[in-house]
Amino acid sequence: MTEPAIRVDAVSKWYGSLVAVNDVSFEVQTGITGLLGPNGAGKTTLLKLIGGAAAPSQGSVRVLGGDPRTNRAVHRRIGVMSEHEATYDLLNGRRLVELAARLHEVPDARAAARAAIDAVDMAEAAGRRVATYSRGMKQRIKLAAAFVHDPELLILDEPLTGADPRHRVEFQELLHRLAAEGRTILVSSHILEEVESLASRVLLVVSGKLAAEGDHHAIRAALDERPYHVQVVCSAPRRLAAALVELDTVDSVQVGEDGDVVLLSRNVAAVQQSLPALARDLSIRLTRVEPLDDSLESVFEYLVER
Amino acid sequence: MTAIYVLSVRQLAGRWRLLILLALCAAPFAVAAAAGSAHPPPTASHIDDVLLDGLWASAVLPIVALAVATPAFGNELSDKTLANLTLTPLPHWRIALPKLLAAVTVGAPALVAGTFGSVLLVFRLVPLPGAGRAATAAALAMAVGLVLYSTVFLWAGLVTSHPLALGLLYVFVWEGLFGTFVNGIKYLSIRQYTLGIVKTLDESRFSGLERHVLGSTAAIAGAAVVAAGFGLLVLRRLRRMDVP
Repeated sequence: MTEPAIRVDAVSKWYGSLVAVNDVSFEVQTGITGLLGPNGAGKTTLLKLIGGAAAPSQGSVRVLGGDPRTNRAVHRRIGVMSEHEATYDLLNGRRLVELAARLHEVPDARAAARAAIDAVDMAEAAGRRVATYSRGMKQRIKLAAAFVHDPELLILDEPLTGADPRHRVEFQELLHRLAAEGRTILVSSHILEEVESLASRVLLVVSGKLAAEGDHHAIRAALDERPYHVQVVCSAPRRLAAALVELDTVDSVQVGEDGDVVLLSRNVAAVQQSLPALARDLSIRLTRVEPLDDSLESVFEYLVER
Repeated sequence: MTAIYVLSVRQLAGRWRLLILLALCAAPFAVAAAAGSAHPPPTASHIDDVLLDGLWASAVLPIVALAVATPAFGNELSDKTLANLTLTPLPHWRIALPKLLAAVTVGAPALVAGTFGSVLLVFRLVPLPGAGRAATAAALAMAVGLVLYSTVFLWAGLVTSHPLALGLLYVFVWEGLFGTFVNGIKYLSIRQYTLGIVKTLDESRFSGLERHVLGSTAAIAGAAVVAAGFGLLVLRRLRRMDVP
C-alpha cells in the first residue's frame, strides 16, 4: 500500500489553555484536498503542524514519509503558502520568487522563478516592489514562491483571499494542472463553494476537531440534512403557526413573545414554496421571512454537534 | 546562505537605522576633541576610563548591537515572515550565521571606524605615544564585542517579543549597575570581555585601572563561551520554536 503524502495521527495542539486542534487524524493522498472550516476552527494550526512550522503537543505528523519538524530534506519537496499577507516587501516580485528558489536550493533559480511567475500571470508586475501589490497580486506572487521549487506537496492557506474572479478561475485551473501532474495539494478555505470547485476530497474542521471528511457530495449531503430555523413575521402568527405545524416539511413551530413565528425545517426550499400560498389561503399578510441561522459557522456547529 | 545574508543586510540597512548608527558613533569624536584640547590634558588612564570604557564599551557598542541584532530575527517574527526561511531544506546554522554576519556587517563599519578615529584623535591631540596601536586595539576589540553582543541579541530576538527591553536590562542593569557593585560580574560581562581584549591587544591600555579589566585568558575564554553558547541557543531555539 502506498504511503499517504500526509498522515496526521491523533494530533492535538494547545497553546496554554487554548486547544487549537483536538485529537485529529486523517490521511491525504495525491490530488487536491480541501480543508474547510470557519475562521478560528484550527485550519491554520493544522497546516502549520503539517508544514513543520509548529510541533504537535500530542500525536504525530508524517509528511512524504518524514517528520517535517526534524527532517530538513523533506522541505525540498514541500511548498508552503501562508495566510499572512506580509512578505519581503522590500523585494520586487521576481527577486522574491528567486529568493524562494535559492532557499530551496533550486539549481537555476532565475529560470525557475521566471516559469513560476509566468504560471501565475505576474510577469508584467514582477519588476515592481511587492509593497506596491494589491492583496490578490501578493497572493499570486506568494503562490509562485511556494511552487517555484517544483514540490510534490503544496500546502496553501486561504490562497484565494483577495483574488479577483478572473484570477480565481485561473488559480483553480493552475491547481488542477499541478494536481494532474501527480502532486498532492492541501488547500484551506472557509468558503464551501470555493473548496467544492477545487477539491475532490474535503476535510471539515470545526472547533479544532475533524467534523467530517469525504468527497464534497458527502459534505453537501451532510449539510443538507441540517434543520434550519426560519423566522416569519405576519399579521396572524397563531393561525399561521397552527397551519404550518400540519406541513410535512416543518419539524416544529414556536410563536415568540414578539409575535413572530419561528419554524424548524429540514427542507427550507419546500417551506419557501408553500408558505406564500398558505398565507394567501388564510388571508394572512407576511411581513418578513428570514432564515435565522444561515451563517456558515452555524452550519459547521451543527455538523460538530451531530 | 548568500541569499539570506543579502536579504538581511537589506532589511537591516534602512536609512534611519544607518543614520542613527552614524550619529551614535560620531558622538565620541566630540568627547575626544574636547578631552584632547583640555587643560591640563588627560592621562592615558583617563582616556581609557572615559572614552574606551565609559563611552564606547558601555554605551555605544551595546546600543549599536541592539540596533542591528535584535531586529535580525525579531522583525521577521513579528511580521510573520520567518517561516519563509525556516520551512526550507537549509540547516538552521545556514539561517543563523548569515543573520549574524548581516548584523555585524551593518553595525561594524561605523563602530570600528568611530572607535579607531576617536582614539587616534585624542591620542594625537594630547599627545600620547602609541596612538596607532591604541586605536587599532580598541577598534578590533569593539568588532569582537559587536559579534558577542549580536549573538546574544540575536537569541533575544527569537525568545521574546521585547528583545530591546531584555537587551537594555542586560546592558544597563546587569553590566552597568550590578557590574559596578559586584566584582565577580566582570566574569559574566561582554563589556568586560571587550575591555580585556583591548588590553590583550595593547598591554599599555588600562594600566591605571588594572583591577577592573579581565586578563587575556579570562577575556578570550569568556568571549568564546558566549559566542559558542549563545550560538547554540539560537540554533536550539530555531529547531524547537513554533514559527508564526
